[in-house]
Amino acid sequence: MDHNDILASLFAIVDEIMECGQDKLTGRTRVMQDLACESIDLLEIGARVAQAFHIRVDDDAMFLRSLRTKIEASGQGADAKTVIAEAYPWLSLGRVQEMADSLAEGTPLLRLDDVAAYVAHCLGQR
Amino acid sequence: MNSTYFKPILVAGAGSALAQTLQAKLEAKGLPFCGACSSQGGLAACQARGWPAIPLGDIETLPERAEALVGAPIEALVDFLHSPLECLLSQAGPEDIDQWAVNNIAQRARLLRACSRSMLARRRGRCLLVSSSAAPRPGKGQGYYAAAKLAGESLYRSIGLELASRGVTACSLRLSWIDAGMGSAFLEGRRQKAEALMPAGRLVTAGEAAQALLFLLQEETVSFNATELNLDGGFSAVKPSC
Repeated sequence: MDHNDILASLFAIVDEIMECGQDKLTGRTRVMQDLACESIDLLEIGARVAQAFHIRVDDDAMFLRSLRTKIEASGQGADAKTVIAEAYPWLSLGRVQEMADSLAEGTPLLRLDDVAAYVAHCLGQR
Repeated sequence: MNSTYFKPILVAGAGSALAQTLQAKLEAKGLPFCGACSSQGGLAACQARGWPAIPLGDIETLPERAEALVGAPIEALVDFLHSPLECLLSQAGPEDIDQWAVNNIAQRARLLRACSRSMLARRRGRCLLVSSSAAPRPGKGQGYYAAAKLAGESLYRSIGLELASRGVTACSLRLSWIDAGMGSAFLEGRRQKAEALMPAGRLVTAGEAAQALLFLLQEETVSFNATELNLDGGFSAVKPSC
């Protein structure tokens, strides 16, 4: 199952929950900003992803919920890029860079591509 | 009236006497169920009656293992799990307290998490906790038992609050003395005194308790949500007399 297959299944799941129309979704869609997901929506996405792909989902990891905490915990001298890459090894180097760059503006923005990458990572580990 | 039940039903702590009474009723009604047991004895008791049962084991995989056994995703959970620690509060050993918390609180939270996530993925589920009238009013020596039940009730109430909009509801059933399992042991030598305290002059039966759980497994009862129900024959309304 490649990234696009995973993404297509993910779009179907997100559309069922958010009723946003699959055609409006892309890998660049921002989960919190574009879809306005609430906690209960993220929980349901996590539960449905686990069921659809037969994987164990760690919501905290999949939705990068502790990203800022991890960076803060690593101390002032730590390189954010290194921390992100180590904590979330499924993210591409490009995404790690984007996230590190966006830290100054606030919390890095989770995209559906990131969720799909997490799923691919779990499937690869199975 | 033809009732629609949440089914299949996962019965956690299926080896207990009360759980066995419920399973007999489920079987008689032709409702599919699967027992989950924390002890070999419980597993053997279920299997001896030809009932499907699995070890509690890895709780995160419990819904999938139950589904594999009964052939359909679990829609309901009835939670009888209980690990006894009955003594005066300050009497318990530190290690016993740690183990009590693991068995009675962490394990229950993980069970509820695993089952509710599975139910949420299908937007259909019912979670029932078998609680006790001792939860709000423990007798001396029942501090840990009551705390475990109150913690359980709180967890089930939260599931009902958080997931009802997505089709998953929950409630707790508080039972008074019942002549089954642990209740029988307690009632030994105290039966007459206990019966005298009950407004009807008799104890609630295991059959009545199982029937109430069966009632709460029907779709028509989902508005009993995020709450605790008493099945105690009126015991909790009695003013103690001197």
